[in-house]
Amino acid sequence: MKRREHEYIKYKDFTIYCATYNVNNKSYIDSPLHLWLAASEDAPDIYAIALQELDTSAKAITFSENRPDYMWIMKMLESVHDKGEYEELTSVRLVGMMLTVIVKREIRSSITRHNVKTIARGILNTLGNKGGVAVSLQLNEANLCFVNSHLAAHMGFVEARNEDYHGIVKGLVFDDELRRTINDHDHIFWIGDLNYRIEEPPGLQLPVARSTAHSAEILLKYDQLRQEMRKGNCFEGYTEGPINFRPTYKYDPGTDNYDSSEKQRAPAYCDRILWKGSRITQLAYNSVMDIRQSDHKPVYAVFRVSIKTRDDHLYKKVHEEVLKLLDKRENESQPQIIVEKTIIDFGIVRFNETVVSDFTVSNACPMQVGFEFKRKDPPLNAICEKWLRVEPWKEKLMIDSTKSIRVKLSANVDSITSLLQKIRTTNWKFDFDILILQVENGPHIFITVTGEYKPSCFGLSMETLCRTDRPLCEYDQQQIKDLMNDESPEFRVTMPREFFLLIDYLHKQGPKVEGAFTLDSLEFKHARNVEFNDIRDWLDTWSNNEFPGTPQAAAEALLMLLHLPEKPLLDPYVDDLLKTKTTAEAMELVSLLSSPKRNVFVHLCMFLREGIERKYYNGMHVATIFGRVLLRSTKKSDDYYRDINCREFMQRFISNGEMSTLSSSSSSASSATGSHHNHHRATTPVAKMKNSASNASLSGGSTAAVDSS
Amino acid sequence: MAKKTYDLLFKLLLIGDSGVGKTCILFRFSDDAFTSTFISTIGIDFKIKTVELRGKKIKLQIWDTAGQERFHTITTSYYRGAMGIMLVYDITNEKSFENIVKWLRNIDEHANEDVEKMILGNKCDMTDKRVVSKERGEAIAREHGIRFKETSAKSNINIESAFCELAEAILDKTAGRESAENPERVVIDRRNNEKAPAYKSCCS
Ligand SMILES: Nc1nc2c(ncn2[C@@H]2O[C@H](COP(=O)(O)OP(=O)(O)O)[C@@H](O)[C@H]2O)c(=O)[nH]1
Ligand SMILES: [Mg+2]
Repeated sequence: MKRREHEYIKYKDFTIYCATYNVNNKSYIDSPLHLWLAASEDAPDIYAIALQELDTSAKAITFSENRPDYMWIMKMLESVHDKGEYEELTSVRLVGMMLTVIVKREIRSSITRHNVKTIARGILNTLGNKGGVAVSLQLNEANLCFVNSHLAAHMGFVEARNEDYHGIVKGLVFDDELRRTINDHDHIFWIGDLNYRIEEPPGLQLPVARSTAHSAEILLKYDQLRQEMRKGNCFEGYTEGPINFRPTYKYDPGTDNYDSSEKQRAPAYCDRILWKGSRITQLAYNSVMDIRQSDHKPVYAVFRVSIKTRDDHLYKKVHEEVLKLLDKRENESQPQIIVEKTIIDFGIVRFNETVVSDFTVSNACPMQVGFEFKRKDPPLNAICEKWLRVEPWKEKLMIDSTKSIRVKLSANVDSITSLLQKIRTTNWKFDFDILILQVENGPHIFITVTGEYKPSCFGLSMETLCRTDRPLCEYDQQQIKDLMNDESPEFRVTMPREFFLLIDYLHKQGPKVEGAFTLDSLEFKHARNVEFNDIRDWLDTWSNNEFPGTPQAAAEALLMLLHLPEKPLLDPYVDDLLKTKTTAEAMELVSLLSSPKRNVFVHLCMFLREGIERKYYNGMHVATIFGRVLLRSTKKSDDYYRDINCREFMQRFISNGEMSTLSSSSSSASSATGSHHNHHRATTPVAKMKNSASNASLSGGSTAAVDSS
Repeated sequence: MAKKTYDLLFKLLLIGDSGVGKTCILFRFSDDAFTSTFISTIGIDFKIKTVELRGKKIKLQIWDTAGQERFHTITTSYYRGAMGIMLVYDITNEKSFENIVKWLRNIDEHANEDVEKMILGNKCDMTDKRVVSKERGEAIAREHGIRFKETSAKSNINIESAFCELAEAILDKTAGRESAENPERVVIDRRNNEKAPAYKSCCS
């Protein structure tokens, strides 16, 4: 805005009337002050009226009297030019010095700010019998300063006067927002009893100097103020207009005669008005002889000042343009990053396999840019879903630089449950995630991570697994989603083939299953056995081949199959079951489970019981493991007592002596299973299952096997 | 530029189906320009524009969102920070108009309760391809008690006035308290929610 000032600034003339009067403690009553304050032809816009020696009593000095003298101000308002309507803007007083600024009503609103300040210089620089008072104001776009000072007295004290001047210039700071000093103004008017005297010209001794006939010109040659200003000792940069009046000091009060007392003080131009700043023209500078109360004569000066003023119309135009420019600059300097791709397609993603994709991000602007992946809202509260890793998640890019970001996707033990849950509940096309790359102070870029999850039996509920009509490898993501959302009570088999095949295999291994069940596989992010993926495919394809792994691997797969579904096997009765005291009581609840779950539970218990009976494994150990899996807490509390509780519950079911209860319940379970069509792959698991079930003679009856037609 | 160049900061959000003209509207407002090439927004972009309303310099930070369906969930997380939302449809695209109801539901669920809303029927320059009448636009706006305007980013119709009206509505809500110290957290005054503020053009 400042730089384009010339486009909207114009100058407007104001008349400024400065006046000074050392009143010598005299009353103003009956003084014809209008002679002093209304001497101009036109009504001035602003008055700055300076008084000195208003009250120099010891009391006033001691108490630093600083309340403006309202009787005086009233009198001033009565005496200003009668062609204008005036009001007092402000007054400032320090003991004997008072400065009053009076403005024409019509320009009052053009004054947008005004401040006052005083500074004491007298004895010890604290008593206010000497010093300065000042007013700072803003008129349109210009800053004006008026100073009224009363400097050190006496002929010989030139240096003290200079010092007072410098003390005021340095020490006076207004309490405005910019902490302006006197010199921080566009137009400065220095008014007052500056007290500079006239050196006695050689050969022109005292009596001569007092002669009225003597021209001011000669006297002024020996005026201390002019001499000091010429030497550069004070009032640097100030101008004073020509003086065409007699010395204003010292008169016998009531007369126009110079001091006739014993002191016989030499006449002097004590009372002065100086200015500093551009576009100031002095129109008048004079003293008033006909005011005789004091030993000084009052002085006034009239100025025309061209005040910097804003053209509102032009200003608005420039202002709007500048705003536009600033906005444009800000928009253009917004940090930008180029992302190599906004879609990361992992293709086919399978359970227990990790896939990796890299992409680059480049700085696209002429400065360093920071970026990070934005943390998503709760409940996720992370930059990405559980099945993803992004590295680095936060980085700085130097100018012209490029960095590589790695995205890792693993549908593993840790994440499969939530991944399947998300697939099940997503309403439109499923994406693995959308990452938000947030450029610092800039745009946010969405990076879609997509691909196709290849369904596997792991993580699916027993109910879902009992609804499949073909191997899981023949389902695609959308079909598995529909299957997961199928809540019909119709099941194609009494228990999942995948479960049955694993049990069947383990059962056949006899004593080789010793030590196969461990909790480790549940505590790792990946399956521990190298054959795991082969077993996965064997299960998901309903393969006729030999089981591709060891008993250990089969046990691990079995535990995962039971552990990974969203809900534990005994859901929704987990808490109620843990409260039961007897097996019979528990069986009542078990009979309420969905038939796939119930059948799996019963079948599993019988299998475990047999192993314990034959001492393949320790009953307490497997009870601990399966207690944790089947009665898994859906809340995240690892309660030690709960763990014991689960173990004891399982022990009741897999230790000896509970056979009869189990059998009766499981036969009722099998009657609940729906019809089943054994279509393709005739020689297949189903037949095999049927076989093994009877061979295994787990419960000595037609329980728990697949009800094939 | 260390000195703050504005009194208040308002965050506005543009939402609506992909292709209705959100990015063009923003571009017209901020840069006073229009291009007819369609570059799908993949994420959230913002531009700033300072306007003067009632003697206050108001910096509008306008967020343009991706309209594609796959981004719907993710963009809702940006609603909360918005003080005003422009909901845009395309008068030549029936579907985009029907989806207004969906977008409104999204706003109800995710935005601040007192967010100021406005519906814009964009591309009103394409009179020969119009399928949604102005009356239908007005009706749905009236039904939900929301301001409405037909706009054209291409022919620069109502773009500036729409943003200024929305900003003015937000200004009406913000308490008289000086929020310049902390423009991010402008206090919202809940009084006078009913009274429709008298709009005069603010930034002609
Ligand atoms: N005729 C016409 N076309 C427009 C107008 N606004 C946008 N378009 C066009 O509509 C297409 C989509 O605009 P865009 O702003 O990218 O839509 P967005 O997806 O909502 O951000 C572009 O090809 C634009 O040129 C308009 O006011 N009139
Ligand atoms: Mg867009």
